[in-house]
Amino acid sequence: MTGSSLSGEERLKQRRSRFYRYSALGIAVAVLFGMVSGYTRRWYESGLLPGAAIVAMWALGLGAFGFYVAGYLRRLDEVDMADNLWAAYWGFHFYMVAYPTWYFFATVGMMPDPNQQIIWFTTMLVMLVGYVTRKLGLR
Amino acid sequence: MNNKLKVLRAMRDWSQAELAGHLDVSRQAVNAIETGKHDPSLPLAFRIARLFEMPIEEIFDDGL
Repeated sequence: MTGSSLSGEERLKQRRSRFYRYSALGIAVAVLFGMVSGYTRRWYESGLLPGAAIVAMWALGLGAFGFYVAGYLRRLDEVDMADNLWAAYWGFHFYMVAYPTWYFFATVGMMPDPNQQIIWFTTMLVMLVGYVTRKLGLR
Repeated sequence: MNNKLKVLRAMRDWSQAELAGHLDVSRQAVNAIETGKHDPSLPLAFRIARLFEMPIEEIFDDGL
């Protein structure tokens, strides 16, 4: 059956499965990349690989991520895109406030130095909350 | 922005999923447009107008 002869619901089903397949592919590649990067780091630390291999692997990962994100954005419709942008907006503003706040309190001795990992993960959490909030219709 | 999408959809006996498939957007997108939570972009508004063979201003009303 050609695309034009499909009903709207069948087209939507196809579109949705394409999106889920693409997302699953992204997750699978990310897991594989995580495993490969772990081995590469071990081989580098044991002297089996030169530093250039680490840089090449990072560049490959960055390129693959950029390629994947471009494809992901092409598959989103404008409402999905708006939800993603809202989530990014929340995350960005959280980071804009969180780091300087923590830094300020650290300089006056009321807190330890800012922990970037905590701030990074919390930023991701805030983005997730922003995304889910939009998806729940609380726009 | 008010719109007649729900009426036009009913006239063709289409579900939101059916319309979403024709427009190549998600069902949530159709729902968001119908309920006025999201104003469609100009390209999507043109796609909607072409699909229903109507001028954009007959489908969407900005209240002015």
